[in-house]
Amino acid sequence: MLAAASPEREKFPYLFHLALELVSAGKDLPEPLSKHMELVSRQAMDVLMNPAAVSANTLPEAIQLALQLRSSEQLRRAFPPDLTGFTAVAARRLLSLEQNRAASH
Amino acid sequence: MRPRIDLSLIRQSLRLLNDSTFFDRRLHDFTEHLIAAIDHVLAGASQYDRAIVMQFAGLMRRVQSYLAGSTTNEIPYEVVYCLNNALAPWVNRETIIVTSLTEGHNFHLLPVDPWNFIRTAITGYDTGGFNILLVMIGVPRLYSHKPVFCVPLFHELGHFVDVAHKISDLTILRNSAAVAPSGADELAHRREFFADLFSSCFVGYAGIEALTAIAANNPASYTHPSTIDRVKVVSDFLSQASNPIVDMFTDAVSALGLPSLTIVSSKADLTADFDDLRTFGSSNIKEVFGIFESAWHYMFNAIDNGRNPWGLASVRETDIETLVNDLTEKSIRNYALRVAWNEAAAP
Repeated sequence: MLAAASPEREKFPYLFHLALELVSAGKDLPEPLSKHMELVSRQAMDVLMNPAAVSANTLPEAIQLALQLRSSEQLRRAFPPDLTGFTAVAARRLLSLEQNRAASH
Repeated sequence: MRPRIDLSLIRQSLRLLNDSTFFDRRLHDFTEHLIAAIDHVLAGASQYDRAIVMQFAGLMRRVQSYLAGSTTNEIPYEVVYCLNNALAPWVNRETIIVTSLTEGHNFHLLPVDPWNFIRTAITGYDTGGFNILLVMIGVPRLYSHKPVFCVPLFHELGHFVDVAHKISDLTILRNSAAVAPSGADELAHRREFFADLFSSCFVGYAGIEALTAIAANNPASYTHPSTIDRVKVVSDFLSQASNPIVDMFTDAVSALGLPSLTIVSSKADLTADFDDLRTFGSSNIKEVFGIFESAWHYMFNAIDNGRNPWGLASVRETDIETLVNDLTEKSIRNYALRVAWNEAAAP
């Protein structure tokens, strides 16, 4: 069954995860991937702060990420405040938290 | 294995698959586009970070596994036809459903979307707007030509729609009051409720009656609501009684600009036709969807009440089952052929 609970659900949306991997390794992101990462982050924070503001333009990845952020203060604190400045350190921290969540599920 | 080697092997496999006969001609185009994307990456893999090539290879492996299961002539064409029609309003892009036949009683539905990844990460390759979504459904081999017994696939389609749009996820953000028992997986429970509701839009009560046949008295588990609770939600929805769980999903799909959860099927009055061993002539797709519930009730009414309108010397359960599934299959096929004929003949 598609919806059975699984560690996969604790992982970040896959393109966002890929972006974090590249940032954590000090690599440059392809521009579309960089824009995607920024958009998903911003929308996720918007949805988290105000779920009523969801619209047809809200990316499913942003909703998924918002729900993950809602369930973990550690994740929320690991996000850079301005959402565009993911450093390698921040990316590594987020990936580590993701791995811990998946492993504990 | 190394991603470049894996991609080469996958490419070889896709080329072999494309040289055989796919059930759906669009799969040839889909596969050709994939091969072109793989060729691009293999020709210039150094321009892409290893992490990107690895994820791409993983995605291609998954697509290859789906496509490998799709060349069989055992595909339940009629059920797939109905699933495509059910899905169309919920995804704003072309979708191909492929099937793998499973052993045991396993229904599942798994999507894969290589094009979003390619557009975002394989930036040197121009998809030319190609954007077909591939969905693989798993159908028990025993039921591959038993459309009435494939009713659970509409539930699986509901899961696909939910996960694609993150509908249940959104309901937690907008309606945090738990619907699952303490300690249970809240998201998993909501996803089951949504899938049941989605299914009922098309197959009415047949979906939960199939559930009841499999798991009549199941209590709530970590991942699933109790059968009683699931039946109540669907019953309230179909009878238009007020229900907070239905309201919760109605709110979420509306917020996302998706179609509303409404009953899409219309009653298929097929008793007289099936009694006469004739297929049911549907006037529109709503009546086609309605066939599933009507045929389900027709079959089990005949079995449970010993009906024999066909004048057979003796009638066993298996005779009734074969007859009803066969007439259902042909009824759907006739409609699909009529639609295709009319479209082809249109000026």
